[in-house]
Amino acid sequence: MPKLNLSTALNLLPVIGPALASAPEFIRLFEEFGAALGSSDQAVLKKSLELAQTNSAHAHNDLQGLVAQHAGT
Amino acid sequence: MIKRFCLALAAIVSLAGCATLPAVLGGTPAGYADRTVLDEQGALFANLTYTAASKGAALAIRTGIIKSPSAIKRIGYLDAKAYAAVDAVNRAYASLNAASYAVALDEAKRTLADLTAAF
Repeated sequence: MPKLNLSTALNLLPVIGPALASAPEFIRLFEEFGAALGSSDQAVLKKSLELAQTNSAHAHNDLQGLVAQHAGT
Repeated sequence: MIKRFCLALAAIVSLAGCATLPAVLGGTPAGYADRTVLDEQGALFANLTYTAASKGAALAIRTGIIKSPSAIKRIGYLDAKAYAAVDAVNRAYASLNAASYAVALDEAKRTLADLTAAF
């Protein structure tokens, strides 16, 4: 399975618009997981999955906090 | 614009030459105590797609792209459903339960589509 080409991934960022393209959290996401997505090494995938699960939890808490703040829930 | 990001993420996944996101999410999980690379990849894609979608929604709220309280509340509701679905994928993966893993991946695919459609 060919590895993800990170520079190719970053070249797609302008497609999503400058506001998102420059957001560091998206660049970080690609950088952290670019290698894992193209890997067939189970150890690499397991480690990446643990990190991805932590990121999901943080992203969820952040969004719910924003919703509570802006929508008064 | 934000939806384009999620489409771009799916495009990036397909650029890797691996199975496309929907195919991986719909892939057959391994049997009990016999995890395959596909299990990790399915769970990884579900988590990454969720993180991208929820960060996109958060950015849309922070930058004022989405400002109405009712729209924000709806995003909160859809986010809770999507996160619960991804959490179910993670738990099914951890418990080596092939049947619940397959069901959870289907549900994650559906709820993530609902979340990304909201902004």
